[in-house]
Amino acid sequence: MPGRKPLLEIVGLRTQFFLHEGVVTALDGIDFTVYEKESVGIVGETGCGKSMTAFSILRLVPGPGKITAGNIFFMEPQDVRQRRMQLEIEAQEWYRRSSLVEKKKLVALYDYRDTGRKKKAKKLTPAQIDKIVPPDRVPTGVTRYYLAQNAKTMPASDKVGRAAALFSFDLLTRTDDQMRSIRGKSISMIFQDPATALDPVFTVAYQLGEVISLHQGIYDRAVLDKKIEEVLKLVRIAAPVNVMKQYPHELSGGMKQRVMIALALSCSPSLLIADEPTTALDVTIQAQILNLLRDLMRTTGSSMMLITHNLGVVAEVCDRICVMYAGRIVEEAETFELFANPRHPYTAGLLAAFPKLGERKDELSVIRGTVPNLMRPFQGCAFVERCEKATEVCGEDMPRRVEISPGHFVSCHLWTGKEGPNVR
Amino acid sequence: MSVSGDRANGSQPIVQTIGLEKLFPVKKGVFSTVVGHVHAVDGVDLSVFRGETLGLVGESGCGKTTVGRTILRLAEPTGGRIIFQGKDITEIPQSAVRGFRKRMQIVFQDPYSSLDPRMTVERIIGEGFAIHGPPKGIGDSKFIKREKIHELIEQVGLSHDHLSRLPHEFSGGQKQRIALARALALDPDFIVLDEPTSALDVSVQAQALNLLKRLQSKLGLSFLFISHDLSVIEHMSDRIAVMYLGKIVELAPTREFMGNPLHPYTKALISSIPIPDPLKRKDRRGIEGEVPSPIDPPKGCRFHPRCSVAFDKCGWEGRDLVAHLLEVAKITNPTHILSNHVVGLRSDGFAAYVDLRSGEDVDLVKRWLGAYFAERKKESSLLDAVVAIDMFLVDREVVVSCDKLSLPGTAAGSADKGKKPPRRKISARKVAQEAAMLMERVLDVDPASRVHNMILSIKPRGRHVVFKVLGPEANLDKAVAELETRLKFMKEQKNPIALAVRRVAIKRTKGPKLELAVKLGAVEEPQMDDVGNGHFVACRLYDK
Ligand SMILES: Nc1ncnc2c1ncn2[C@@H]1O[C@H](COP(=O)(O)OP(=O)(O)OP(=O)(O)O)[C@@H](O)[C@H]1O
Ligand SMILES: Nc1ncnc2c1ncn2[C@@H]1O[C@H](COP(=O)(O)OP(=O)(O)O)[C@@H](O)[C@H]1O
Ligand code: SF4
Ligand code: SF4
Ligand SMILES: [Mg+2]
Ligand SMILES: [Mg+2]
Repeated sequence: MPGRKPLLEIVGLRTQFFLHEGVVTALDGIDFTVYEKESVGIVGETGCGKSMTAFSILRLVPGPGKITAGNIFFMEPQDVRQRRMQLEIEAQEWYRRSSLVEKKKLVALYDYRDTGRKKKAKKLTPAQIDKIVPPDRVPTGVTRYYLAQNAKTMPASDKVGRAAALFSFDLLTRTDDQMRSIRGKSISMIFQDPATALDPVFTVAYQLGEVISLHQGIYDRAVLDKKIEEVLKLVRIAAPVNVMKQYPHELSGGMKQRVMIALALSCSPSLLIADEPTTALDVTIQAQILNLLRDLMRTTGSSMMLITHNLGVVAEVCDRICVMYAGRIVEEAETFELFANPRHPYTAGLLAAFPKLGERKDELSVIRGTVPNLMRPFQGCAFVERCEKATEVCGEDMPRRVEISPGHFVSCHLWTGKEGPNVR
Repeated sequence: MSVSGDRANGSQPIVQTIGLEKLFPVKKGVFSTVVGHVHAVDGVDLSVFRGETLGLVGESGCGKTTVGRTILRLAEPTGGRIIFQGKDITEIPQSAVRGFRKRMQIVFQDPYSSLDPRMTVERIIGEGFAIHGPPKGIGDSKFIKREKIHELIEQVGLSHDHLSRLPHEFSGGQKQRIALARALALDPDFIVLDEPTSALDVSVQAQALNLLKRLQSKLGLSFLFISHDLSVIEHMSDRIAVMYLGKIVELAPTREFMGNPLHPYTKALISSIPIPDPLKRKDRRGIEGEVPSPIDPPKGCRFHPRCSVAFDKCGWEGRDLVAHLLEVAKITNPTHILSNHVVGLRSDGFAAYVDLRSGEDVDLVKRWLGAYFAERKKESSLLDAVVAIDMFLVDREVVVSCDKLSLPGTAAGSADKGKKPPRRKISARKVAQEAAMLMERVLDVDPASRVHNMILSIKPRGRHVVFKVLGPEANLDKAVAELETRLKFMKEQKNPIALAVRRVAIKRTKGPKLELAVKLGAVEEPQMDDVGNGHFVACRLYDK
């Protein structure tokens, strides 16, 4: 999308849970970009990794979970981004040219990022290595490795400096303290379960006041109260002065969600992540909240990442949509394009399975089977067991992400090599 | 009254409810005093005909589940009748209900908690045989039972080797299939499906919905399909009923319903649904506000506080009357003859209060208001609803003072058995709160009580309970006398709260000050009216 400034760019993000029973790959190499002043929808069925995407961005992955690969570039200046992209291309080129030994080293490095444990480079054939690190998928490990390599062989210290500068916009390189100040101030989140996100023992005014004084340095009680009232009015709470004095349990689900939105927007973040903000609400209240979110995004100029399993909700609110399946983004397009031309068999199946008001059919079309277990690594396409159009190659090779028309990305073997005429 | 939903053709409903009602008591405080009721189901008439699916849609808490559970007598109705295959089963004993339950089954919303985690799938499905004996037409032998279970598991699209597994090994959609197989085991005629797919993913939901439809046509089942999702309801149902705060507000055959929704709530519900088609994107205004509490539902049409086309016949509260007196009658305008006598207006529930400048104005203002309401009552049903204009002594109260209380402890809480449990101490403040609730109840449930109509409010204040009393001075003495006899009776009954009451006294504050309380009476609720094409709607807009 030329002309638009990227706000958040995720490259090859992988998040895994290390359990006794095995490794759950919750996110398996995710790439996507959120531009300024747009709302991006993330849709997918339960367990496909929507919430994990949000938690990874905020570096709040719980428990035995870890981010094991990838980068999350946030508010990266345009020129830095261009240099980084240039480097990615060089790294890719370098990878193609590099010897087997170097590739093996890279695999070792990649394994290290994957499991957190350093492994010895095994004896691998070039084909095997290419399978582990598909050359056309630009794994970020490559860039890092290339930079490290260059720093060693060419002691031009500015290279190292440049590399550091390039990666300094990566949220994964931030200290915990830096992350704390980013959370709530630059990126804020509305959680899936509003009940757990609000503290039951403090009043609404206290919780809002805390956030505002922390991030904006307002400590004067009167000024703070005025500010709190303003924020509550912004989210269309009818009697803000009364609500301020109330405790979360005294509020209805819809009101709680409004307070959550107020909390998230109180410091005018550049990015709002809303994880299923309306799933627990009734349709009439959902409509109110969606209207509110849409209006607020328009007036504040923030970007929004809206996570939901409801295709109706994204169709109403979002400019662009990413469809997730089993920890991967399988299709990404502008909203109108996606609904008009769903290209990935999963997206098409999902759209057809959704009962639509006023379009009664005798039978809904179904996607056979169920979501796969994420404990098992997928060699090829994760949808292969449920796909009507699967061919032999689907089970063996991971489909590459291709841009079939400007801004429309699909990861499916039906579309590999079918880049749109206007693309590249 | 017409039983809504009856078809013109003579076909008999398999299940019918007439005025079905289920109230849940609301309890509060240390002694669980009943302070009110949740009107979960409040007069519901529905019929489900043989082989059809009746869809029941509404927002959470409107009473859908309770309708399903009371029909099966899993919850005891507090009013109305349930007729199953022509037989009234409202009051038959639970032992006899079991016989009927073979033919009526329910599938619950939550596939995760509705199956016993320790039982194999085979036992879960066969459970019904153990309780009710084998279904009609099959013998008692183990072999035949097994055959039947195999048939059932195939019917719901699972395979034989699933039978020996435990529920936790299955996905949500598969669990829901197992629950369905269990419900089908005894060859029921009628199944309540309570949000059967709400916990499922879209792709799995589609499989489950198709399965239900196929089984219905194959086995000739009748369904009551409950859901909050109108898109799913439309897909599944032959007729659709919309529920709001315990009442059915609209009912029609699906095609008619979608093509010609009449009730303002139905219209709002339809327009609130996000449509997965960006070309149909629109600014959905939907409805303002939130569902009111079912404990004290709005009088008149329950939807009126949120209805965008409500008019004065729909329902009212004290604040509507205050607004009328201020904006239409303009009694506080300087030119109005009452303006010198009236200080202000306020409202509380179904009463409007007129605050007077001095005690001497009472008669004048009362007479003026009385004449005004009498004259205008034909024009406005709000004014027609005024039932009484009472004097209200602002400065005089009956005060009941309470002591703190110490009760023997309950054994349940104490860890070591030998010791006597510690006594429970209850502060005077708490006692006053309890006493207020208790007295409200005592005086409220008994309309025969002489003070019923003269006590305006009962509120705790510190260690006291304060009664606001309406009417002339003599009412105060009456109230005191009444309270004393009641307390005496309760003390004899060893009611701990009554025992903690020290004295009942009249308390006076400053100079004489008076308010007039204008009380509004009950508003008639809109009833379901037949508007043709099997379409019923309960809304004043369609009054004939
Ligand atoms: N604490 C954890 N331990 C192990 N695995 C986990 C943990 N949290 C999440 N996962 C796994 O990560 C995957 C992605 O989870 P995530 O919460 O992102 O799903 P989601 O798309 O948000 O689903 P939903 O729609 O149900 O919210 C799931 O397969 C889940 O089982
Ligand atoms: N066992 C119960 N005790 C008290 N109140 C209940 C009980 N079951 C339901 N209710 C109340 O009755 C109302 C209707 O509940 P329910 O039938 O479950 O609604 P729905 O299924 O439409 O969401 C709600 O206000 C609910 O809180
Ligand atoms: S890659 Fe193959 S299995 Fe995967 S969605 Fe495309 S056609 Fe289906
Ligand atoms: S009766 Fe009809 S018009 Fe009146 S408030 Fe109810 S729904 Fe609205
Ligand atoms: Mg989630
Ligand atoms: Mg329910």
